Order: sequence, then C-alpha cells, then structure tokens
Amino acid sequence: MGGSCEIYGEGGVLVVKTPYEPAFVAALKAHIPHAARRWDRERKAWLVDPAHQAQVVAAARKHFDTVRVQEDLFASPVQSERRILEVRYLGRTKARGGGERTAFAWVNGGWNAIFPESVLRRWFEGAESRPGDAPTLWQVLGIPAGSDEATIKKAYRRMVKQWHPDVCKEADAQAQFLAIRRAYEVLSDPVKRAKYEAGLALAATLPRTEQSDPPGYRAPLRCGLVLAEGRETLGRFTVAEILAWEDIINERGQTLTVSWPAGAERFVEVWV
Amino acid sequence: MNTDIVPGSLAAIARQESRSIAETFIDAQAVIVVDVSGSMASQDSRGGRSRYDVMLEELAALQANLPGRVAVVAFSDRPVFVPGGQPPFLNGTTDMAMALRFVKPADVPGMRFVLVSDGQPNDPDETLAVARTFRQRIDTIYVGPEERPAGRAFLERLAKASGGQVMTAERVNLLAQTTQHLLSA
Repeated sequence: MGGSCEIYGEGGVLVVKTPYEPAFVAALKAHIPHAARRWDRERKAWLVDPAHQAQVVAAARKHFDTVRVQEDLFASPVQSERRILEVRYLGRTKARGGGERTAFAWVNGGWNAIFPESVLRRWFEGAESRPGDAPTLWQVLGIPAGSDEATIKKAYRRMVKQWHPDVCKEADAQAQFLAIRRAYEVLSDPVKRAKYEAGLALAATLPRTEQSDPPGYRAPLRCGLVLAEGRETLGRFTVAEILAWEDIINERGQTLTVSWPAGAERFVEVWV
Repeated sequence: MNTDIVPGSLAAIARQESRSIAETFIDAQAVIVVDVSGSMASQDSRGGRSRYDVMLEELAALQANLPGRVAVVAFSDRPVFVPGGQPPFLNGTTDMAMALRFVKPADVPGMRFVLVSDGQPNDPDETLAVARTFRQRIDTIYVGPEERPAGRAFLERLAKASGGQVMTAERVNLLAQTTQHLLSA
C-alpha cells in the first residue's frame, strides 16, 4: 500500500489515475468486467464504466494511502438509450473477467457493441436457460417455446438461409443445418411437437449437471438490424435489452448471411 | 440413486443418437409408471428375491425388446422420471395420484400409460379423480400376490376410469411379457 490515487469523471467515464500498483490492477481486473474498463495509454489512466464507481473507489482505498474522489461524481445515473445497431457479425460469448460472459459485435466498422449472454439468451430462448444447457429445438430455431406455426415457419426459413452449408463456412454448418431441419420437422408436426413438449416437461424434473466451464453461447443469428436498449461507455454500446432483430437486406432484395471460417482472420459476408 | 442406463432406455437411445432425452420422447409409445414403495421390498418374487430386484430385470428386458419406445417413471412418496430405465428404490408410501399428475404432461395423442403396482394408493378417490382427467388410456398391471384381491380390484377401477384394462404379473414375474402384451393390444 502506498501512493495516491485520483478519480474523476470525464466524457461519461471514470478516469482513475494511479501509480503502478500490481495489486490494484489485479483487483480491477477481478471485479470490473473487461468490457467496462480500458487502459488509456495516452492519459496513463484507467477508464472505467461509472456503473462500477463503488467498486473502483473501494479498491483504490484498499491499495493507496490517499484517494481523491471528485465530489458529486456521476450523482445521476447514466441514462440508457435506444439504438438501431447494424450488426455485421456477432461472436460467441466469452468470459472476459469480472462478470457475465459477453459477445462482441461488429458494428460501424469495429467491435463496437457488447451483448451479455443473458441478453442474447433472453431474446433467442425466451425463457430461463443456463450456460451449458443443451439447446432445445425451440432454441435451435431461436424462438420462444410455444411459438405458433407462423413463427416456427418464419424462423425456419431464416435459419436455413443463415446456416445452409452452401453459404455458411463454419466447420459445423452441416450439423447445424440438419439440427434446424430436425427442429422444424418436429415442431411443425402437432403430434411430434406434443410428444416433444411432454419430453421437455419430464426432462425438466431431472437434476441438472453443472458444467464447470461450459462453451460460450453462439446466437443462432449472427447479423441483423438490431433495435436495442443500452448505453455507451468507453466507446462501446453495451446492450441491456434486444427489442427487435431484423435481417439486413440489400437494394436487390438479398439477405446478408455471415460466418467465420476456421482459421480465417475475418468473418465472411454472403448475400443470398 | 440408481443411475444405470440399460440398453433400449430413452437415455441409451439419446446417447446413441446424440439427441436430448426430450427428443427421444417423440418416438416413445408408452410411459410405464412403476410403484417402488416399501412393499416392493418383499422377498417373494422369483428365486426368493425382492419384487423390486425382479422389477429391475423385467424393466431391462422390456426396454431391450422395445428400444426407445418406453419411458419409465417410478413413484412412492414422490415420482421420479428415470430415463436410464432402472428406477431407484424409494421405499415410502404409495402416492399414486401424485405420480399420475406427474406424467399428465405426457397425456398426448400417440402415448399410452401402464401403471404397475402391488397395492392400494394412499388416496384411492383422488387417484381415480386424476385418472379420469386422462385422454389416453391407462392400463394397469397388478404385481402383488393373488391372495390380496383388494389391490387388484383398485387397479381394475383405475384402468376402467380411463378406458384401459388390468392384467396381473404376480409378484412381478413376467412383467415385461405382460406389458408387451398390453401394448400390442
């Protein structure tokens, strides 16, 4: 412990100026999610999402003799806003330290949007599901359980377009395509669907096996015009809620599909 | 808890075909609801073994003969879904009404129910009331001793309540064969 720390607000973020203190840096990384902190080389300061103000101040007080905090620092909470994001590619969620797993999305020429896993699951799965749970047939089609016939058909057409092995270049495109067909075959048949739902009801009574490190969540759609509520911090828009997700269609009426081939440096866009 | 997976059980099929347990239900034709209450410990089945032990053998044979066609649910004080096909010995009372409510979500077209028990339920009236709500038939198999007709008589009433029939597999012997006979009827 030693030295002094200064914390003040600037441009909607917390600026945390400290001498180098490894224990403080470790605490910051442990308690503040990756997406909510950034090291600013020019200012030689940490920039932190004001939502984590209390944790930053507590960590600073623990590791420095003197901590100067600007008075009335972000007394009023940062307001959330609605935006339409043109998502050209949405990655798989990853644990990035200090919080929920998140996926970065390519928006406006950079990885400028962040989707927490719970937000994606809420939109695509409509119900509570947990990391590591095997996807249900509803989740394969990216629609809430109990959706009507028209919704099932629309989701099927959309998913088939995105995952058809002729356009999707990901290693498991064929398997995903077959899973989508299988999901449609079952959910569009009233008898099979009723039996499947009976199976889901009984299977839900089984004890869940916890996975220590489940794979990251991959949303069934990876591109689209997304109406989202959230707020911008550190130059990135963190989504709190998805309100609508539409396909990106060009002036020729073609739909954008995206995939990331194994080993490629960038995702591939194909209009179909 | 018995966590074995017997050949032909839903869990075995799920593993073979890389499907979820719920998906294997699509091809299932029957839910067999087996009583594993305290009386199933009676050592009066074949070879002087307990009814429960013989039931495990018979259920294994049934699922091997009808792979992926039978879902197993066991009950005593509480019901348990057993996709592995080998129910645990729950060793309590006979809450048959709760067991029927538990499998009610599977009361869908194309599904049948076979209830296997050696005795009377905790609440016969409640059990019959639940049975009457079923759209699909519930057949019953009495696996107690023939000299105790009350248990069989109740299972007959239960089967009738849903348009099913009752059969006997005394002291669990020939349970697999009896069940197959019922399902082929």
